[in-house]
Amino acid sequence: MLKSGTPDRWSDDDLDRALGDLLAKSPLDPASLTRVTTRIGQTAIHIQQMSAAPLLSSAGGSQVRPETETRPVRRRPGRFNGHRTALLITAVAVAVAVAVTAPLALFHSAPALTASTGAPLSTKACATHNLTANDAQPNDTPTLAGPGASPATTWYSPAKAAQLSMALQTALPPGTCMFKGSEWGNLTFPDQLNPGDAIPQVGMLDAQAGGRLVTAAGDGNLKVSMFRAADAQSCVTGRFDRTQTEKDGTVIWQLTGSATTSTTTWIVLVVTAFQKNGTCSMLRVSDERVGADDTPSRPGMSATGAPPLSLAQLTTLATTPGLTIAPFSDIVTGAALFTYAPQTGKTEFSYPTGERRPLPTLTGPALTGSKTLATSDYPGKILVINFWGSWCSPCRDEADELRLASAALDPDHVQFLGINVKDNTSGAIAFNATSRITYPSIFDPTDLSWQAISGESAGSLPVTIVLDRQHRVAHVWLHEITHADLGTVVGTLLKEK
Amino acid sequence: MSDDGPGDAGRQWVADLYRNHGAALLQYLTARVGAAAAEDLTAETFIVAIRRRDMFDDARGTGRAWLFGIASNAVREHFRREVRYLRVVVRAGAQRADDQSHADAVDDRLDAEAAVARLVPRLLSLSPVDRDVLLLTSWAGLGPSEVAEALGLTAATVRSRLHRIRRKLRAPTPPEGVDQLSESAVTASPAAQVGLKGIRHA
Repeated sequence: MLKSGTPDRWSDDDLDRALGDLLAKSPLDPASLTRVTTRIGQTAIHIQQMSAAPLLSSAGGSQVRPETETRPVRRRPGRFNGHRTALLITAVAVAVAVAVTAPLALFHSAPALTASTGAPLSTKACATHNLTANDAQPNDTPTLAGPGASPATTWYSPAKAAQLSMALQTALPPGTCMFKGSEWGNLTFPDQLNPGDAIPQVGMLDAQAGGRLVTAAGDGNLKVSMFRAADAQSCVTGRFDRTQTEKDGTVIWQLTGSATTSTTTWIVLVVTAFQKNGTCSMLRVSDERVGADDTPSRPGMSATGAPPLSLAQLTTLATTPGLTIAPFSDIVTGAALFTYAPQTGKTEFSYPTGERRPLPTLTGPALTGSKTLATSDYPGKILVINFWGSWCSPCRDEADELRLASAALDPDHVQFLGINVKDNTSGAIAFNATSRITYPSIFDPTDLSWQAISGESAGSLPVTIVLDRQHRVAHVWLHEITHADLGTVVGTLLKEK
Repeated sequence: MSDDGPGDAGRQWVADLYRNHGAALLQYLTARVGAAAAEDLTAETFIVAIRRRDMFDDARGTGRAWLFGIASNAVREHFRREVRYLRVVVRAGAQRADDQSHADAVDDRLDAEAAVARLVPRLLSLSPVDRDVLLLTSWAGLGPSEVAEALGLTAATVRSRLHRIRRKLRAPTPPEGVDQLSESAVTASPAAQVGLKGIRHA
């Protein structure tokens, strides 16, 4: 079968590649790191009768800046032709540095952000740049979301967002950032952003009603634009940090801030980018919210505003083998794209030909192997896109049905594509092996794909989307389906054209 | 805050070790023994580090080498897990490759699976120390002197071993397959019995 039995002698490169591939099969699960941190902290208390805080969070201890005081992981691939490993290990170290310093320096007390050091922006500064909605009113025709979307939702093309971002940035002092309260969902990355590229621009789109571009920030390498929700009440503060690690020159940008809205007291926003030797290694944006009484608004979130979830996602990104930045880069192309707009209670949507909108092209690393997969890889085919995770038990029930359907439907005309979200590779690969699922999946641990479409996290899986031959959205299920469901929908689509 | 002198510094030192190397160590151990066992071993390693931090002599090596040394000993105690875990990895890969081979078979992935399937039994056929030497270098990115420090060898020994190990792994004739490798045989190796007693500086 495979070449494992072939007697040829390996070159050094062959060996290094195999070692790298084997390592890549066991990516670090960020939840794992969190558990270890907790365990060590607890044990440390036990054996030292000391507070865990000074040990692992430094919350009460000296304000150590690990970038300057301690040794970063050395890049030493040795004989190993291990660019990937070096990147991976470096990225892990960076992620940890951020994970530890961010709660310390930036999030230790969310309300105290106003007192944070660096380049804090007071409400005065905010007022100075308190752009009105009119300032940011896009001149281009806003593109409406797909069927069912609120008509008030405005979408901006990346080009327009970049234009606005640039214009606003010139109005801001260099190295600073400010913004007014924003409810934000979708993130657009520039097209064609690949590992090795500088980050030219990042735009953010408001997933909520009435969003307006409010401001932008950057230092020439990373620019961020933000959109304000209709219910934003006040601008609190924000800061923009740029740190450079001592040894390997990795640059970390971080933009944080918080704001008040009528429904949410604190919104802590983090934009993080890593640039190494002038090239982009990683980019991540997260938002976390704390309720009015400082109680976590999401499970797993601490009341201090520290965002463990997003940092865990950060680590996931950092440790994704064959890291692809912005795997869903061309999510908003300015065309009238489909976006799913949540409608309470409804879990199935069917769109007749005239109402169909194209789905943004979704691209990302394949769950296995080093290829990049994209919905655009299958032109002219009906595409069944299934969002799944090995942690999702309805997905397990559904897997048999999908396998049956994928086997029954003509592969010349129908392609199945999985989008594996919020998962780790080993769990996901094992899931597919057990379920005997053979069609490819995009590995999307940070759940960018569904967020891109829906503006929200894929809280409830599975989700299945069927695209017609023109890759317009014809049918959406927000619940598990049977092969008969798929057969009916796909059968109808097959008769078209 | 009560001042307990060097204790504070030591505590901070371990905290810094964790901050700088915790994730890398967990990643390394995850690749060797799987996520569940890696969590145990990483926690164990740092707990040992906390207990013994005063015994670390920085004239003798880096904290990172010391840490990976503790971890390497811990891995040997859990060697059965490593064997089991790596088998699962290979099988999952082979299964995956089989499943995919009919359809849009991607040559490089198949090649990669085949290479991994060929590599794993060879890795497992190495002595525990040799495996540590190789993987601390390749996966954890340690240099020869750090590997030497971690494992209680000399840097020259590490270099020559590395050379020998690599030659062995590149050799054309595969050694015994992963399925034939008996767990009792590997755990019976003397090095596997060293355990935490082998920590340097202790």
